[in-house]
Amino acid sequence: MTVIRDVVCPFCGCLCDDLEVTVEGNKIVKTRNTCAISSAKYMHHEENRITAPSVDGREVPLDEAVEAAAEILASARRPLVYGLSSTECGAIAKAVELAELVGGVVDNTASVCHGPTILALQAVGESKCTLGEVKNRADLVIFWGCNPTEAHLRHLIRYSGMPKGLYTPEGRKGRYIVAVDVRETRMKRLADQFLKIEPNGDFELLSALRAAVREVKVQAETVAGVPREQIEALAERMKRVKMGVIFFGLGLTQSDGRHMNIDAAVGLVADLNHHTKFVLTPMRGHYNVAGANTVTAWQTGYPYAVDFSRGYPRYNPGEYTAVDLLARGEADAALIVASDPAAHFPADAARHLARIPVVTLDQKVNMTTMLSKVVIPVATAGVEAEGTAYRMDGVPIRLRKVVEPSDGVLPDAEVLQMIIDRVRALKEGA
Amino acid sequence: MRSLIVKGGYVYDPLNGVDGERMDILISGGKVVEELDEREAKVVDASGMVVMPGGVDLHSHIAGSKINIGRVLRPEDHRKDPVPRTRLTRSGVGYSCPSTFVAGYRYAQLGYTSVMEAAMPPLGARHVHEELNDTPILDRTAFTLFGNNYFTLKYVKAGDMGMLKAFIAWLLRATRGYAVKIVNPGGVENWKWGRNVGGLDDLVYNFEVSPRQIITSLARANEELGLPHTIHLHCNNLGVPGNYETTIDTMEAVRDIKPREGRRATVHIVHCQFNALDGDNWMNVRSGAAKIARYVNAHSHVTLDIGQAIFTDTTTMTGDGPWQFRLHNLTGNKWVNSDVEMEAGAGVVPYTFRKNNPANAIQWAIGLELALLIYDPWRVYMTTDHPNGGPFTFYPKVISWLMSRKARTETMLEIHKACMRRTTLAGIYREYDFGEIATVTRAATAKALGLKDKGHLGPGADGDVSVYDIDPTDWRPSMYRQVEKAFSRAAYTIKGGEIVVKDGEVVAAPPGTTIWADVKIPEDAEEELMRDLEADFRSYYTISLANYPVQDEYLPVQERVAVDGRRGW
Amino acid sequence: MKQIEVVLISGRTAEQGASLEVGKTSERYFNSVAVVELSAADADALGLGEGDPVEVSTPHGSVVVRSRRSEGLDPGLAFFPYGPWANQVFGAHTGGTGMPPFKGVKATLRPAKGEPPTLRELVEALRRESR
Repeated sequence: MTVIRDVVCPFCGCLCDDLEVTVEGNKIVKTRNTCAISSAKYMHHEENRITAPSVDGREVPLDEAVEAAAEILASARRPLVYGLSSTECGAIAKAVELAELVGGVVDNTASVCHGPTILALQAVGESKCTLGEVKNRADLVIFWGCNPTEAHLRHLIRYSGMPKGLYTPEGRKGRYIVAVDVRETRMKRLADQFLKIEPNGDFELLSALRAAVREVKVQAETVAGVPREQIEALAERMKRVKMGVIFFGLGLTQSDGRHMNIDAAVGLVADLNHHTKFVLTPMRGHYNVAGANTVTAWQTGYPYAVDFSRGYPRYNPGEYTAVDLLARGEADAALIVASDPAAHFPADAARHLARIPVVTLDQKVNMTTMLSKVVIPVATAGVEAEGTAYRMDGVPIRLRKVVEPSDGVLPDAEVLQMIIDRVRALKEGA
Repeated sequence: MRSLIVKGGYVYDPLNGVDGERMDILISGGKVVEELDEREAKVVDASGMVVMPGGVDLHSHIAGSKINIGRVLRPEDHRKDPVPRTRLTRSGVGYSCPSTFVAGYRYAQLGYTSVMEAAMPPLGARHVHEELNDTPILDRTAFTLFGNNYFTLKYVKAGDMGMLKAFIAWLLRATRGYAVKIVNPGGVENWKWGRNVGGLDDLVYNFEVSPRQIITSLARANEELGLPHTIHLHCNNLGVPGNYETTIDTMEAVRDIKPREGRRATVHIVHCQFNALDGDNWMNVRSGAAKIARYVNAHSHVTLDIGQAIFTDTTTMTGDGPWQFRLHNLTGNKWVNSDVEMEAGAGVVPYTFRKNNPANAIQWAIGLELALLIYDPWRVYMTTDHPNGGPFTFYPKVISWLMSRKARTETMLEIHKACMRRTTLAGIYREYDFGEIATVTRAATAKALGLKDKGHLGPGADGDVSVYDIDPTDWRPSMYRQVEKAFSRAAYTIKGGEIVVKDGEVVAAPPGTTIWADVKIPEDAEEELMRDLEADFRSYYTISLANYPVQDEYLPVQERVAVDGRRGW
Repeated sequence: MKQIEVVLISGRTAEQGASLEVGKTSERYFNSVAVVELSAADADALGLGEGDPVEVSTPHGSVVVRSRRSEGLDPGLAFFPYGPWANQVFGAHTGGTGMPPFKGVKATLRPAKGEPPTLRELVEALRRESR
């Protein structure tokens, strides 16, 4: 029996790296410091696994599946490569290389998550920090349109609520926590102040806060359901703290206004920097969506929605984003890596995956694998394979391997390299 | 790999005293050799051309988190310069925030074979190395940020030179870094409370140490350890009119530090143009370059690089968080700030240097004044602080300004008159020759970096050679456009004995080598340090100490430079 | 036929996250994701007992899921855990942003009969509708 320490969790953007996993033989028998979701991932990682590659539902040897995948992608006119946020950076780099080789589009799950945050950054920027700065300095923490109690379970314990840091020796007592949401979640109990906001009212409320920070009188009695006095009081507090941070999530990126909501938040934080130290940080969902953006950006210049059909990278969210490509019926083949768009895209887009040949690399059976022509099982990064992942704040940590994958199940970076080699051979032969 | 004979070119190898002599360079096994079997060798015909060691850029921002933030921030920059893939090369984007593959190809096309990544935040070191691994051809190092690091401040405050040295050795190994980089010491820590420092003797909040103490302590530790390069220093007050005084005070502060054996320098001042402003404000700003040059000419312990400004739209990115906020407020341009716990910070702001902007015109002149007024080309180097002053692809233009007064005059006539009235540039007649260019772009930089096998073409040197299609015997400074053209597209770039560029096109893209400094220190010092690190990591970091150091997997091709730091203990 | 208008939000839950790590074909996943949460007042208005089936409709589609009462929701607001059942009713129009409207969308709730479709039935539906 071995206890492996400092294990890095491959689930959410918290990328906790203090896990302990106990392994007996090649089986995970116990975990420590895991949250409920992480524990489920480790303890159940062997269940519902795809056991062998398949083509049209028939089990085939890996080489045959790779060949079928290569033929689909090499002959496609508008192939889409998508997913990538739940695997390690080596695989992501291979996916980008493959998309370039076949002149297709490469997109990642940021397009349905914090893509709007990136759009806002490209327009107005962003003032941020790594999570340790929050732990060590923040005396005001605002959670806007996110619910860490359901999606980032150890965020408050490790980074933003409880920890006693260098200049925050009182821990939770030294922090004022505000939660802003359209409904009362468990955050209401955890926070010192809860602001209930009307759905789709974020842009207005952020703008009103910004006005108050600039000492421009807010005329309305309430903005987005929040009384003016509360807005003015919060603005005052924000100016007076030593260091404030806004953590924000899909409540901002997915509501009306999309990137304009984050634009407003960025502007508010920039204005606050004239009074005190203030930052904002997106709560990235998947453990390596930041890595998908990071790798894609350093290799192509652009963070997601990258088209290679002209032989060089082009960027246009709304045109090259996966939901749009599928909803318009534009993609004629797809390679899905570490994602389940058939389940997670609106049906109007997901439906197209039933029309076109799809190659999927994943661990477990899901709706996308059920619709795929070629399915190749791959090792679980962070459990059965090493690699780099980038935390929500951009910190890169190396994932550990704690058990061996099943016989014949390779890391996706290796499988992607095999497909690349076959595609290259097919294109040269043609 | 076949041996090579670079035949009959006019060789400029300042480190070996060769100044335009017609000679052959023999390369075998990736190294320059004195003799080889000519029957086996491939001949590169360099007759009528300039031959130099491959370029060694000692300060550029090409890999890591803030560079990538710049890339994400600026799709509009990329759209100006898309780069299609070829059978051999990957696609990408260029201009001020090039993608990694393109950065490697373009440097090689200019005849560069080694580039130093100027600022690596330790917590993001893995990111730097991942990007360097996707930067083809170039050999490289990365400089680790120390100047606002919690442990630096802690040991400087305690006056504990032993622990400071132990920490430097440990962090260089943990990050696979090569040199001690310092950016606005104290200021970036204060920026984490929204403040800055305004001079060498201001105090850092909570630590109550001054930038002067940080700089002198790190300089002393650096020299006692015997690191291959001096401290690499971005001074306080960057971009503030009147800051030339801070720069001179800074240089003066490290004058009495005893340099390690084999060098006179104790500090390298980076992108000095940004720190050579005279005047009180942006209305009456003028050049302080002459005053800086006077000091540097009289004091041999200083080296600097110019950080030349180029009239173009570019992207500023530095570890100087408060300066970047200031620039955002000055320009109204979009602004990204990124504070790194316990260690450092960064900021990115697009910026356009405009010909009709008097301040920009003065800044343009300052870079050239520094290069032309400082007599010793072994101590002043050519950079643009890519991309802060401008993209590195403008290096050939800078070379033409250095080599030709006519080129300078032509530009001066196009820009705001402030460059004539408030700088001395118009009255400078000096023109660099090819030997001096070779010095400030490869020989001197390699020497300052302590890279023994780079920057020269003597036996044992790495087989890194650039050949430029220009005949030095048939050239006059008025022919500056030819210089710009020739240096924009190397006739040949040879890396490690392999031809990687021919007629300005990439013909091979082997991986480069990451060089880092492996510093040995006494065991008991290391043990004491580890105890301290273990406690503080647990309390204040959000990553475990076990996961912090950069693993071997991130350096597939590496070269360890062994440094025995025990001698000066 | 009783029906109410609500504003729909989708989002993650810890149970949705944990159960998808077990497997999306698992019963645990079905039980945690094929649900819609609504306020007690709205559940009463529709005459729903805890867990009773309810049909959620938008102009883009409709789906039957189990209902669940939630204290944190105001009347007129309903929460749909992120997943394939929710995606039957959200549209794919991104307005040029790449991001479909997953939050703040108007929907109609009606009491329904029967069970929510299984994951495999949803796949069959996608196949059928794609022809």
